[in-house]
Amino acid sequence: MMRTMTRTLALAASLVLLIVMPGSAQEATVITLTQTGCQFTEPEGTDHGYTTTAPEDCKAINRKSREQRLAAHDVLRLEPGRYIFRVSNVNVPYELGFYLRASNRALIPFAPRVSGGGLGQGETQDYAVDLSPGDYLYSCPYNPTPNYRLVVSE
Amino acid sequence: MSRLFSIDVFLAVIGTLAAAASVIINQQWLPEKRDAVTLLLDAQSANRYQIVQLEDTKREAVRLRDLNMLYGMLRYQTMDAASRSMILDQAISAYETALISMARHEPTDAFDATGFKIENLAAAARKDDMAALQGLAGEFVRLFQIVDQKRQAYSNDQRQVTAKISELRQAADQLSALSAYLQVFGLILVMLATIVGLKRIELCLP
Repeated sequence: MMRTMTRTLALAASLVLLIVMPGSAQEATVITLTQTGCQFTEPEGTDHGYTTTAPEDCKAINRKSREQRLAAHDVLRLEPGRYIFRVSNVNVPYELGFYLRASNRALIPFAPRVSGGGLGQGETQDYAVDLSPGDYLYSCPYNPTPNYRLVVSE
Repeated sequence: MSRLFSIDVFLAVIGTLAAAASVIINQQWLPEKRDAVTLLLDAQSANRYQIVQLEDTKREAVRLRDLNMLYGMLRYQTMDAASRSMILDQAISAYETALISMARHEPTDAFDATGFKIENLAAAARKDDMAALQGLAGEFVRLFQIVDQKRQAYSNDQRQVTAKISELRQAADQLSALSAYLQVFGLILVMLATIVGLKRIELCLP
């Protein structure tokens, strides 16, 4: 009798935990992103081989090529859930970072977002975020890269 | 030749020229002025919208900063660590909202870098980093100045547009009055020409 009651209580507790903390039962999906000079290679589908020694080099390159590159880039489409963005700095000789936020500037403080720097040459860092449906942008303002689109929908 | 240029003919010619000038003013010059006024009114309306937006942004930013300060004071009233952490989170969120809403008035490239900086500072401030909190306060002042300068620039522009509209309206009024005077003047001259002409025929004057 006592054992049945304990088992029932344990089951109820697990159910409550599952309902209250859906994220904890859900595995985070890892999205790998690679940074080279002035770009992320995955959304652009290729490494343009831009050479950069300082952010100013990339600003000049992006001014000329941004529109064309963004028109051809692959929009990242995901389902809502927990994600880990594993970002690598392959060959950029200064510190990089990662910045993911809502595409609508007014919504940035209220939508899921993640940011961080400290990504030296040859290093990889994880940036975890719970994404809800919506339109997002991701980029590295230190490289800097263009703003790539990310769409989260059911 | 002298018969051809008699007084009635002279009056009729001047009267007709006055009427023609009145038509030119009414059909050409007045519409040009009025079109220019319409364009400037559109610009004035767009400017007014921007000024209202910027004023709203400033007001909201100040309110959110006050909210941040209020949360800051509340934080020290509670002994529970979890509550303090939650209040700090709310305080930083209020600050962050104010900063991002002001940063929206920066150019796109600058906005991305500023947004990134704010996010990083906010993340550090949530871990009770005093330097990050001071960094957020510094950003608040910098962005508030940008918004205020932008609002000032729109206000100056608005003053110039308003002055130009008033100038154009005055010119249009003057043209409209001139056109009316010319019409009346032309009509009187043509009437006089008719009377003189009729009298000449009646009296068989050369």
